[in-house]
Amino acid sequence: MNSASYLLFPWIHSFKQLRFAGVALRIVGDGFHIGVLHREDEGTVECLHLAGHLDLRNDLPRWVQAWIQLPYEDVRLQAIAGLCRLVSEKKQEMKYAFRFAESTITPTGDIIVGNTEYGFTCATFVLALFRAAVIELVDVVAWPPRADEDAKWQASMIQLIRDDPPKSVSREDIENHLRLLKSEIGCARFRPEEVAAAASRDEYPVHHETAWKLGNHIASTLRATA
Amino acid sequence: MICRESSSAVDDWEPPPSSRTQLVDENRRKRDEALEELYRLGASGKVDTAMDRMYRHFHELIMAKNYSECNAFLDDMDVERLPNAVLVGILTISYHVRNHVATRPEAFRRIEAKLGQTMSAARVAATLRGLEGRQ
Repeated sequence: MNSASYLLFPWIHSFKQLRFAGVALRIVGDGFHIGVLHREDEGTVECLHLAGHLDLRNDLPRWVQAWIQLPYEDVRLQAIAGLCRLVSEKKQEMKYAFRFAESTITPTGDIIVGNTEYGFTCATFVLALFRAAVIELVDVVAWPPRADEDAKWQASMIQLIRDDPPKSVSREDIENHLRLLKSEIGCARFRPEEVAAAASRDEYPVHHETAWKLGNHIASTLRATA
Repeated sequence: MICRESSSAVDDWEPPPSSRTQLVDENRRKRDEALEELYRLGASGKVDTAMDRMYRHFHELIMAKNYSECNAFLDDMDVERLPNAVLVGILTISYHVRNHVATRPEAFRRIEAKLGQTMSAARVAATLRGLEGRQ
């Protein structure tokens, strides 16, 4: 594959071209941020994304640098878009954490965190949302931990939350949560570009090797055009 | 504070037959209203509004663990009068409570047949992938 042809740029491919649901990406430091684009019949396109600890947002996709059209039938996409609206209406508090295995979003838009998990990253929130739509985007069980590569990033996210905690949370609660996050350092990380790559495929679940290759391609294309 | 005796009494309590009839009638009325609204929205092309109303209706039923009404809804719905997207949404939201909804497999077959009126078998299979909910 020579170019990530499924990677669309808003200044070339307007969000008006979105068929009901897609994923959105932005470069953030050394990594990426991901959310789910959704559109009503004739309505505005919005993006549902976990922007940080206790910071689930549904906003206009002004921050988006690239997007991917989900390659499913329209009727399935409309069901996903409806689910995004349902979750955004619930306005639930969503904690930020790294480990992801069983967490999901229920059909009622409620967040269920797995027994050994504490929350979501932006990427695992997307995986959970798809799980609620009965689409298991990636092979979660076989996803390999890459501690050497990801531990540094995980530590930097902990520092980010420590430096700029949500104002609504006490220092004690933040420190307790950060202790849990520290215990997760080294766990498997689902990178936003890999989740985006999985979302570009109509066959799922996507295995890590495929997602990793396509994700690298997305990352290099996005950085080259930034 | 609720004492154990009174909790037990509450658990054992059953509404009198006349109340049960009223409850059944009320459930049926709500279901008929919800379905009629979905049919009307579908006929006027307001598919996403219909989707939102359907999700909210099921949200209330699932939150109340009112699975008998989920069953009745799937049994009563006229798939020919509902937009395909809403039908897929119904399979999506009911998937997670499929063990409680005995009418879902038959509803799946009716929806599959409805989609097959305008889509190839391969597209129907791709669209409904994972939603079968086989045990």
